[in-house]
Order: sequence, then structure tokens, then C-alpha cells
Amino acid sequence: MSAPASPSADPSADPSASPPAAPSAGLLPVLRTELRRGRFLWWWAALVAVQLAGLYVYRWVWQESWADLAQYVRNLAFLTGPLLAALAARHGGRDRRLGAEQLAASVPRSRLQRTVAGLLPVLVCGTAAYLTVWLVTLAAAWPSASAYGRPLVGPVVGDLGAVALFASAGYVLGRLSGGALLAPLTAVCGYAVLLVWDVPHSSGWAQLVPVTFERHEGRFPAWWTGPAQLAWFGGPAVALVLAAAARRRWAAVVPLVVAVAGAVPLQAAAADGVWRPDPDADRLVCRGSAPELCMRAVHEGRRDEVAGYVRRAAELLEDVPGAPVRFEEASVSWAGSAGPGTAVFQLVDGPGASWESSERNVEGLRRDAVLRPLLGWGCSEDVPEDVPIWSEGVLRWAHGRLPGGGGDAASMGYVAEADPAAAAEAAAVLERMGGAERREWLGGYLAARDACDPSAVDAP
Amino acid sequence: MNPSSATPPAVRVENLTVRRRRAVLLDSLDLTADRGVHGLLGPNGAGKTTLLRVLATVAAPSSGTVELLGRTPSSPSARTAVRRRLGYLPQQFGHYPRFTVRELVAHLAWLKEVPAARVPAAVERAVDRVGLADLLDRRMRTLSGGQVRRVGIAQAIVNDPELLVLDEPTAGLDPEHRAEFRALLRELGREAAVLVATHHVDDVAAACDRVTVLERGRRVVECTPAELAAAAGAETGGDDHGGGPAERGYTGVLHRFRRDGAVTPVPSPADAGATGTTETEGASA
Repeated sequence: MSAPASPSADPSADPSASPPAAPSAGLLPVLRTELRRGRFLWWWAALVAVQLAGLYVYRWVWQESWADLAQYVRNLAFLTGPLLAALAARHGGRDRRLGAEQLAASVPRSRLQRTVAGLLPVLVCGTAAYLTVWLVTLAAAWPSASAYGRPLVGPVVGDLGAVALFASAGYVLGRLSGGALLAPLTAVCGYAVLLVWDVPHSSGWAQLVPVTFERHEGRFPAWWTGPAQLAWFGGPAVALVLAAAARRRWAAVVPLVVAVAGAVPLQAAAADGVWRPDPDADRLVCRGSAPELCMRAVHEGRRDEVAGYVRRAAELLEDVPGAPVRFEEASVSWAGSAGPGTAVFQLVDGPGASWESSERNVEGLRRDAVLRPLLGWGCSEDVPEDVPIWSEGVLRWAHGRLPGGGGDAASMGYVAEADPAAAAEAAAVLERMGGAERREWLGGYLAARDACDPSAVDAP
Repeated sequence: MNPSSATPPAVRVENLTVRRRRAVLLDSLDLTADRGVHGLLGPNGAGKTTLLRVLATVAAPSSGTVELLGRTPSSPSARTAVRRRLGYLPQQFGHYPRFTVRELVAHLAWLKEVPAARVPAAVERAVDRVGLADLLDRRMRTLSGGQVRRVGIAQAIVNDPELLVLDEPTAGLDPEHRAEFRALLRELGREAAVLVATHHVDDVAAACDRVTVLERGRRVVECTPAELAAAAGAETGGDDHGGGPAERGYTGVLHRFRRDGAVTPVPSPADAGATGTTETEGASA
């Protein structure tokens, strides 16, 4: 231990002569040290990995819709929220765990400043993880989703409020308690709250914990929901910090009032008020002729996926009287009628979208989605006796004519035949028919189907 | 030490009582300290740490007057003003093991509101003063117990405090570094009021200008180290308790206090020539 020159030799070195430091002065180096030494990089990586893994499972939902992307990124942010709270609880309990409280209590920085400084790296970690996930999914969805609408920033604002709430709740718990088991207990309690909050997704209360796996296709969030959610989540985050660390604890009432002001319109609006129907979502973009393929602008990126099936299906009915010349994607609500000469189809989501859409048969489902509105007897499906028992045989024949459809369509699960033998016989007869005979029969079949009159057509 | 000067003393404690639940930790204690090194001696549970916690504005008194650096730290603003000019090393120096020495002391410099532009130089100077300049960028978890203690001293002086409160600063230091630390204490005492609680009577004898002996929350005696050493013969009655004269004097006054409930005046080496007056305190004080 050396004895250098007295500090008083330099007048500028006299701390009592210096004005009080601003609350944020020098905070950046402190934050940098905390981020570097506090394992936050690992926590960031873990949060990003868990969220991206969860989003990968549901990629077929959010990849082509900005609204669903926003909802699913939100879902994963909430589902990893208790993990962030656990991290914050561990970090918040550090001074207590390491016995540094005595020293911290003797410094001029206020408890509020110390709390904010301690919370900041957790907040940065959680926010960075959220934004990383958002940007990665944004990039992943861009090729498909950019055909319609634009990325939604409003939900991001609200979600960052929720990230702040998870972080501050955990941190404050940690400062108050600091036990070794606090972090896992915080995570468990967080998940318990999320599980208990089981209300119908359409209700107003569900908007206060807006985790839902319902899709928002054709909808967009009302402009005010982002700020309202920020107030609802961010208000309690600020209130917790003020209640735990401010000299004037009653100041916590102010952000709580802000939170209530955000919650009231959310609760009152319910799901239909928060996620508004987008009149532009059903706007069709039509291309080509004979057949003309019309798809919703939102799905313009998937035109190539459908166009091949449509072209080949149209070839099957070439020169058939009354055959549709226009293929139109179904609207969001399936409202309205497409009119004569138009086949309305629905897009089939990719592998993993539902239990039946495995890699093995997703191609068959996509083929069926085009062929069924074209050739299926769909007019009286709710009255089974009005559906000719052989009618699925027409679909079976059509599947067999398209590439990849040579197998037994019924056994693949996308042709549900009431009488497999009759359907097989009808398919075989259609296949044996000459071109002119088949065109004539198909013309009669389509006319009978469009008239919904099974007596007007005989089995092929 | 010049309590009678126009400027108020750095520490003025009158009739200080601290209670925790039913226990009385400090009992009507008086203490005055100004620039220089003031040692606090006493057995375990005597109230040294409690007194230092009050002086570090960490604990509040139950009653009595506490004036630090001319202010009564009863309001938040007064406490903050005192804390800006205060350095404190608690008995348990909790630190962050993953931080480097530089990072930890800089972190505490921020907590002490050292202006950001001055922090790097202040950190290097404080760490250099405790002899750890070579370890500035070593992680805390790699340091020995004595080195951690020296980092604790470095953080206490990083803001060039006018009042320095050190609780067991030499615990865990090897003899060589204890000797260096005494030199540092003497140097710090030229610019600040330094209060040091320790069990090492040798440290007090070597580095302190005055010493206060505490027992069960009460002051046994306040004197100079020389007076304490001189008390060895008077208080022990010739018994050899081992150790140096100061240690024998300390043991002796404690025994006398426990036996009689009071300590008679300690003769100073020069009798009337001592710089400070020797005080006594009865059991009823």
C-alpha cells in the first residue's frame, strides 16, 4: 500500500466541491459492466432460442400474416415471461445473497437509482431478446407476408410493456426476498398465473393477458391498442419499482392509474374491438384467363403453390359445358356466393398445420382443395341422402389424373367415400370413357350438381 | 483532534442509544472525533459495529444526537449530503465475484456519485493506495481473502471521503500488509476523520491518534494509545496478560470495568502532558 500525494493537492479532486452527480451520469459504464459480467448474454441467447423454437413449431400460422406473426411473437414473449422474471429475481437478490446490502445502504445514490440501475440490464436483456425474435421472424415471414399489409408495430409497443412488467416484478421480488429458491418459485408462480387466466379469447378480460392461439387472419389491431397495452403492462412495472424503492412510495399510484386507463378500453373493446376486420383482407388479385385464378392479396405470395393444381384441374374439364373458368380463393368469412362458372377453394397450410397435414399427404390435400369445389357434390352435404353414393368416385378419378394422385385417394384421408365400391366403380368407368363421352357426362354431372338435383344424373 | 475549533467536529455523538427489540446495543454513548485516526476497541458484542453502522448512516439511532460532518443525518437530503463525503467498509464486504477489481471499484464510485469523468483515475489511485495496482483487471473471485479486504478499503476511499468508517479493515490481512495498512491509515487521517473498529490492539497503538474502548454498548474509556498502554500497569496490578503494553492496558481496563462498573482515570505517560484528557464513565452513564 503506497502513499501517493494527498488528494487535496488537486482542488478538482475534492468531492465535496463537486455538484451532485446527475442520476444517469456514468450509468452507461455500469450497465456495460453488468451486461458483460452478469451472464446476460447467455440469458439473452436462452430466451431467443426458446422463443424461436416455439415459433418454429407454429411457422405455418405466422409466416404469411403480419397479424398472426404479431400474435405469436406476443404469445412466446408471454410464455417466456416467467423465465425472464426468474432471471430478474435472481439478479435482484444479488446484493442480499452476497451480503452487499450494508455497503449499498451507505452510498448517496438513492434506493430508486440503485434499483433502476440494477433492473436496467435485465430490461435490456429481455427487450433485446424480444426484438431479436421479432426481427428474425419478420425476416422469415417477409417473402410470404409482404404481399399484403405491413409489419405491425403497435403490438410490439404493448409487448415491450409486458417485458418490462415481467422484469420489474421479478427484480423487485428478488430485492425484497433474495432466497435461493426465489428464482424457480417466481417462474412457477408466473406460469401458474398464466394458466389460471383461462378466459374465452373473445372476452374483454382475455385482452388483459392477450395470449391466444386463435388466428387473426384478415384482421388488424386498432391503433390505440399498442399504447393501451403499454400503459396496462408498463404502468404496473413502473408502480412496482416506485413502491419498492421510491422515497415517496405513494407516487406508485400515478402509474397504476395510467395502467387502469389502459386496461379499461381494452376490456371494454373485447377481441372484436381490439382486432378489427380488415376490409382490404378479402381483396382479390386475379391473373390469367381460362382459367382465371383469383387469390386474396394477403396470399399473393402463394400463387405458384396453387396455380399448378388449378391449371391441371382446368385441363380435366376442357370443353366440358358449364365447367368453371374462374378459380377464386375463399374469403375470410366464407361470406357471399361466387356465382356460376366459379370454383371457390381454400388454401391448405403447410406440413404441421394440423394433425392430418403431414408431409405425406399435404400435397393430396392441396390437390383436393382445388378439385373438390370443381367436381365435388357439395351442394347438399348436410343432407347425406341427397348426395349420390358414387359422387366421390368423380374426385377419385380426378385425383388419379393429376400428378402424384395415382394412389388410393380414399386411403390417404382426403376423399371420404360413403360407398368405396361404388366410388371405385365410378372412377374406373370415367377412366375408360372416351374423351367426347366423358365431356358429355361431366357436363351433365356439373349441371345436376349446380342444380343440386341428384336425380338429374346417373352414375357414369 | 480539535473539538473546540469553530468548525464542527466530523463526528459528534451525544447520548446515543440504539435498541433492537429488547436488547440495548448502544447505551447513552458520547463520542467526538475529528480529523485523525480514531480506534474503536472492544470485545465481540460491545457495540463497535452498531456504532459504525450509525456513523455510516446505515442504522438509525433509537435516541440521542448524531452529527456527522456538521449535519444531522435524520432527513434523506442530509443523509445524502453526508454520504457523498463518507467512505464505509462494513464488516462483511459483499462483492460481485465476476467483476474485476477495476469494475467493482468503478461500480461503487458510481454509487458514491463520483463524477463520471473522474472515475477511471479515482479507481486506479484508490486501488494503487491499497497496493493492488497489479491486480486491477483480475476477477474478484480469484483474489485471496486479504486482497478482497484491500479492495474493500479501496472502494471506501475512492471518493476521497472526509469521514471514513472502517469495520475490521485488517481482518484477513497478513502482517506485511497490516503494517502497510497502518501507514495508509495514518496518511488518510491527515485529511479525514477515520474511525476504525478492530480487534488488533497493535493496529490501534501504531496508527490511531485516539482510542475508545467499548463494552456492552457503553464507553469504558477514551484516551490516546499511549495512555491505554500506560494503563497496563495500573489496571492489571502487575498481572502479565501477554501481548504489548497497549493490549495489556486494553485488557486491564476491560477487567476493571467489568469488576467495578467504572474505570478510574488512566495515568498518561507524561501525566499532565498528554494531548487529550482521560475520561471515565460509570456504570450508570
